[in-house]
Amino acid sequence: MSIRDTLGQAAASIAKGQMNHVVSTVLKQRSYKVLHAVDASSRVAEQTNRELLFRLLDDNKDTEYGKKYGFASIHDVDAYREQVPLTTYDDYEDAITRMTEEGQKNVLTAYPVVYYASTSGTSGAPKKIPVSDRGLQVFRDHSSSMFVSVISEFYKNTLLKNVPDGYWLAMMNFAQTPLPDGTMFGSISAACLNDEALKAMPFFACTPLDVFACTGSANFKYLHARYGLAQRNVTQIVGPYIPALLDLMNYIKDEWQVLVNDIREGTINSEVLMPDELRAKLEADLAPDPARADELEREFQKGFDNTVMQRIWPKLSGISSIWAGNFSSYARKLQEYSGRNIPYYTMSYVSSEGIFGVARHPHDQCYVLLPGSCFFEFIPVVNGKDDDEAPDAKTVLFNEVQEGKDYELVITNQSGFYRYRMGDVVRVIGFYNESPMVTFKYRKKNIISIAGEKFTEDHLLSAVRSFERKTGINVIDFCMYPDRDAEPGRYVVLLEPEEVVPKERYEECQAIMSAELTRASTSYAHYVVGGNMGEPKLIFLQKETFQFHREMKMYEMGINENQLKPVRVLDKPDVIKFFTLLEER
Amino acid sequence: MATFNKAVEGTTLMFAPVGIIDAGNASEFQDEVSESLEGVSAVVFDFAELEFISSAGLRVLLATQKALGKPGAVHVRNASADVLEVLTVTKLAQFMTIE
Repeated sequence: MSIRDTLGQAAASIAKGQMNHVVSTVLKQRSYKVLHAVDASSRVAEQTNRELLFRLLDDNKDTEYGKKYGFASIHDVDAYREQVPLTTYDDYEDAITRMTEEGQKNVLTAYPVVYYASTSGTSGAPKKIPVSDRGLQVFRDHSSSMFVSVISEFYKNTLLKNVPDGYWLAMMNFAQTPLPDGTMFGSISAACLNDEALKAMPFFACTPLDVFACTGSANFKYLHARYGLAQRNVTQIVGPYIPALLDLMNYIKDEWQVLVNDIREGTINSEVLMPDELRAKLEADLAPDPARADELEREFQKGFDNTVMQRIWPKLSGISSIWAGNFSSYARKLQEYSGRNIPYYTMSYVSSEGIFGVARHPHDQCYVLLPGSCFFEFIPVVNGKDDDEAPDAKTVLFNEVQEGKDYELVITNQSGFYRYRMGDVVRVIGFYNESPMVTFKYRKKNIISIAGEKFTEDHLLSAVRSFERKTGINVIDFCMYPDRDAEPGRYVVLLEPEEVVPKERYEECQAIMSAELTRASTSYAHYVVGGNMGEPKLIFLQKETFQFHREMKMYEMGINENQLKPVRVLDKPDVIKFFTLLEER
Repeated sequence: MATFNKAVEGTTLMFAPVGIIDAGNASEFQDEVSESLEGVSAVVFDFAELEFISSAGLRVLLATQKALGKPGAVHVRNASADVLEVLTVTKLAQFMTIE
């Protein structure tokens, strides 16, 4: 390399560093603004939420839906609850088809629909959830940058220091496809990237924009690892679900020599799958970096212990991903690389239909509901009774929910869904100012019932965590299904242990799991003791079964890791067979 | 444990693993496949002497299929009934050529 080239690279590097500082500062300022707005609205949560409803009713009174249900004549919340029915996706499907295929407007919302979000993790055709410009702005404000201020605040308050400028290793994919009416369709996270963000991304994201936007088949894991490792100043690692981050670190552990070599040579590995045009673009911008490669090699040769992430990324300040509850075993595994000093932030309570809450502090496993995002109603869920299933189930409001009680969430969002039953059951665990703080408990569609009992994924999580404590067996992932062919019916629980469990412990494990399931759910215990249900069956799965299932699903459905939800209750015979066939032998 | 006999014929890579492929050796299996893929348009796995393949091994088959890109570019030969069942139930078979 000539002196001129070297100087040119140095100048580019300095310029990029300066831009990173500018972008980091702007991100931090904006993020703090959002954080302050969250705090402010939480102080007047009930009023904010009520005002949002009346603004939505007024703005949408002339839409097809607004006219049908007489939005113009609604002047109080009780009238809204009387005149407008509770809904599910089926109630909107016909309207959405007309909107997406015929370009009809003013059907559900008066606001411009700028995007359709695909629902995640479902089989069959994904649902199309309309997202208006206003709804999208709420997503953008709270999902993508909130963690910057939360983590900055944490460092200031606990360590009396600032989070340094730096780069994000973001496990994202922003690929979108156009619908017949020209509106784009994809994951909700993809929609959050506007033109401004696109311009800024090269200055704070390790991975090039072309990779994020790639719609073809590519080994994204290699690409995120390749570019993430090349960047020494990574401050944040970001990904929607934590299994993807753990998988990335496992991949780096297995493939570090290849990755380091590519960084040293300034190449993209020729064996890695990606579209030719993407490869050409990436290779044109790469330069050899022997100094970084040497550093990485030295650190990797020391081993992959719980300091490795901090050794290869000395400025690493936070890991942001959904990691609480069902995913905590993945967080625990990732901490074997990160150590426990790096704050984990569980991001937001978000779905295609809206962003409902944000975690206010790192390590929080609960979300502060956002009164300015949706109008919230709550259907009380009392000891699993069926009263809440009624189409006219009674709802309570923001100021009526009680700590310690469970509720099904009903939302009226800013994109044309009114009194929409999310099917998520949350528990109110307290209040942040006036805003309820909730933890996600379970999805109603994942309730298992064989003999009349109600067993939820939250019960299963509780049983598995106790099982781990009592047996000393770490569980990577788990799921269950109701075996109605057995006589009497029984539950089958499938665990993927971190290490193979010796056969001689099977009987003990079976007994402990049986006891823990009855402890977790009294209604289940009642039916087992009464003989209406049989003893559960415990199956240990082969290592990497859940990862294989995720990869298979992504390949089969052409979706990315961000769109996958955890598998907890197996409800289709082919999926049950998939897992049971991969039992440890 | 397994041994991974391999050979290249033109643009076809032939693999004939012997024994079992599980989490203990899947990484080695992956390396053996990956390092030979350059210039290869098809991979043939001859499973005549494969006794067992676990989830970790199935991930290698999927990764190979993804690396080659074209559906049907991975061929599986002489698989036992058990292995065939696993490939079918997991739906890997629908992206491969089963011979």
